[in-house]
Amino acid sequence: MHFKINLTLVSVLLIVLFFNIPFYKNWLNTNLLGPSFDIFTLSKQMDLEQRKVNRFGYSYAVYQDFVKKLKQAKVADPVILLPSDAYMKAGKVKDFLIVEPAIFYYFTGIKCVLYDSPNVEKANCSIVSDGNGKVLLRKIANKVELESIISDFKKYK
Amino acid sequence: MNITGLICILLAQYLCGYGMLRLLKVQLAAVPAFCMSMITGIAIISLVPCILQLLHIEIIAKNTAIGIGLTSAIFSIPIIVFFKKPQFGKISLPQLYELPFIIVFLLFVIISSFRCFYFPPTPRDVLAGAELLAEFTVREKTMLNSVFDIDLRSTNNHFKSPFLTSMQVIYKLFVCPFGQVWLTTIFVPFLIMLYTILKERLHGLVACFLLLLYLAIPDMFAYSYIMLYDYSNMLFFFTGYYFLMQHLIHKRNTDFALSVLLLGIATYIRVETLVLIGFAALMPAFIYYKEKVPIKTILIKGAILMGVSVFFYVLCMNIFIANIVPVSLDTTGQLNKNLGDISVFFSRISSINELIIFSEKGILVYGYFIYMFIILVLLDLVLIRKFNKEARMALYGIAVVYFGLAFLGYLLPLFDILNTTKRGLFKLIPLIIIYMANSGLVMKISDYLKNRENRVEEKGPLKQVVAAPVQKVKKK
Repeated sequence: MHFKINLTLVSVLLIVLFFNIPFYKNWLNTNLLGPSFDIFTLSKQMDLEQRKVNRFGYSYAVYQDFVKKLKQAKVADPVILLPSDAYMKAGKVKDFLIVEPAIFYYFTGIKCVLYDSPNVEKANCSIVSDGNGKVLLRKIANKVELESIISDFKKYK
Repeated sequence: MNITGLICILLAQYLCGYGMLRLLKVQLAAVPAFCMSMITGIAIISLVPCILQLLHIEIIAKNTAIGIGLTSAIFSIPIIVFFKKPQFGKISLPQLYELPFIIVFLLFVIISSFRCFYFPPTPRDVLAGAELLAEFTVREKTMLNSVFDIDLRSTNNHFKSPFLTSMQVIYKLFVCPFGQVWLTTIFVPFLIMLYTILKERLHGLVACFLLLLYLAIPDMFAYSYIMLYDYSNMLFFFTGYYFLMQHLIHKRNTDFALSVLLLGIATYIRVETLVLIGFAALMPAFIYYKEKVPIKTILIKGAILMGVSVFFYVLCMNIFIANIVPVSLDTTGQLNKNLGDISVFFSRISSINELIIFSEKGILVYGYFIYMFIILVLLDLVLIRKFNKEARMALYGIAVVYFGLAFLGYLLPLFDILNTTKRGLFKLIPLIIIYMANSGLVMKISDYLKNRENRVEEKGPLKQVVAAPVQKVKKK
C-alpha cells in the first residue's frame, strides 16, 4: 500500500510538473481554463443566437441586423451584392469581414453575389461603407445604380 | 438538448457497431468491444440520410428515425444469431495512483464535450460545406437544396465526403440545433480505447502519463470539439492500422476483417486516405512474404485490403457525391501536371519539417509531443538498440503518414501544408503513442514499476504462508 501511495504522489507530481512547463501552463490557463471559455459563465448564456454571436463575432451580428432590416423593408427575393474586404478597409470599417457567398447564405439564409460574380445583375441590395467606418445596407433601385456600385467596388480589389 | 433523442441515437450507434463486430466475429474484451462498437456504429448510421436521399425519400425526423431503426434492426441480427452468453470477468478498477490522471482526463472530457455542445460549428471548411448543406437539408428536407443555387465558386467543400453532413443532419434532427455532439460520442470511446491499449502494455502510471501527452496536444484536443473531417479520419485510420498490426502479430483473421472495414471508413471520410492505405498495405505483404505465406494468399489479402477501401472511395465519390451534389467535379485540374519532377516531393518534405514540425507554429499545434518522440527514438537507438515487432510496425505507420502526406502534396498541389497537411499529420499522433508504449526505454520503466508493485504485493501473503503450521510440516 505504501508503494501505491508513493506512486499516487508521483502521479500528482508528474501532472503538476507537466503543467508547469511554460508552454503547457500557458495553454492550460488561456485555452482550457481561460475566462473566455469558462463553462459556468457560458452556461448562463444559452440563447442560440447569442452563442452564434459569441463564436462568429461582430460581422455575424451585423449580418443578422441586415436580415431584420430586409424583413422590415419587405424586400422580395433579396440578393445582396458583396464588396471586397479591401473596399471595406478603405471605408475605415473595422472588425467587419466580408464572408464568401456560401457562408453568407449559412449566416442569413439570403442569397448574395460577389461584385465579380457572373450573376451580379441579380443583386437588388448592396453592402456599402459610408466612408467613415459605418457599414450600411443599400437598396439598388436600377441597373445604372448597380453598375455604379460595382465600378466603385472594383477600385479596391 | 433532446436527451431522449441522444440516448436513442447512441443506442442505435452501439447496436449497429456491435452487430458489425459480431458479424465479423471480432473477439474483444467488454470495454474495447463497447468502444469499437460506438466508433464503428457511427459510420453505419451516417449512411442513413444518404440512402434516404438516393431513394428520393424526404429527409425528415420520421423517415430518418425509421431508417436508423431499420439499420439498427438489421445489424441486431448478427447479435442474435451469434449470441453468446456474456461473460462478466473481474472488473479491474483503476489503481489509486491512476486517479489523479483520471481526474485530469475527466476535466479534458468535460471541457471538450461542453464546447462541442455549446459552440456552433466554426471552421470555414464546414460553414461553406458540410454544415451549410446539413442546415439546409434539415430546412428543405432534401440534400439537393437551395445551397446549390448560390455562387459556390469560392469553395469545393460540397464535394467532400457526406459523412459530416449526414451526422449533422441526424444530430440536428434528433439532438440539438448545432449538431456536432456526435464528435464527443467517438472522442470518448477512442480515449478509453487508447487507455485500454496502453494499459495492456504498460504499468498504469506510465499508461496514464502517455495518455496525458496525447490529450495535451493543443490542436488535436481542439479538433475533439471543432468539427472537421480530420479527427474522425485519424480515428478510423489509426484503429484500422492498429487492428492490422494485431492481425500480423496474433494471426487472427477477424482482426484483419475489422482493420479492412475501419480503413475503408477512413477512406470514406477523406478519400485521399486511399493513397496512405496503399502504402500501408506493403507492410502485411512484406511480413507475409517473410513468413513464407503463399503468394496467392498474399495477393488475395492485399486485394481485400485495397478492394474494400476502393469500394468506400467509389461509394463516396461515384455513388453519394455524384447523386447528391448536382454540380460536376473536375479533378483533372487538381492533379500535378508535371509528375516527372519529383523534386516537388522532396520540397514538400522540407516544407512540412520547416513550417509545421520544427517551427514555432509546430509547437503551437503539437506542443512538444513530436520532439519527445524524436528524443525517445534516439534514446532507444543509443541505449536499448532493440525494437519489438509492434514498435517497428508503428514506426512504419508513422513513415506511411509522413511520406504519404508529402506524396499527396506532390500529387495534388491544392493539398496545402498549413491546413490540410497539418491536420493530416494528426494520424501520426496515436501511432506515436503506440510506439511510445513499445519503446524499450518506456517498457523498462514500466517493467520496473510493475516488478516493484508485484514484489510489494507478494510480500504480504508470503509472510502468512511462512507463518502457517502446514508450511512448517512440509518443511520438515
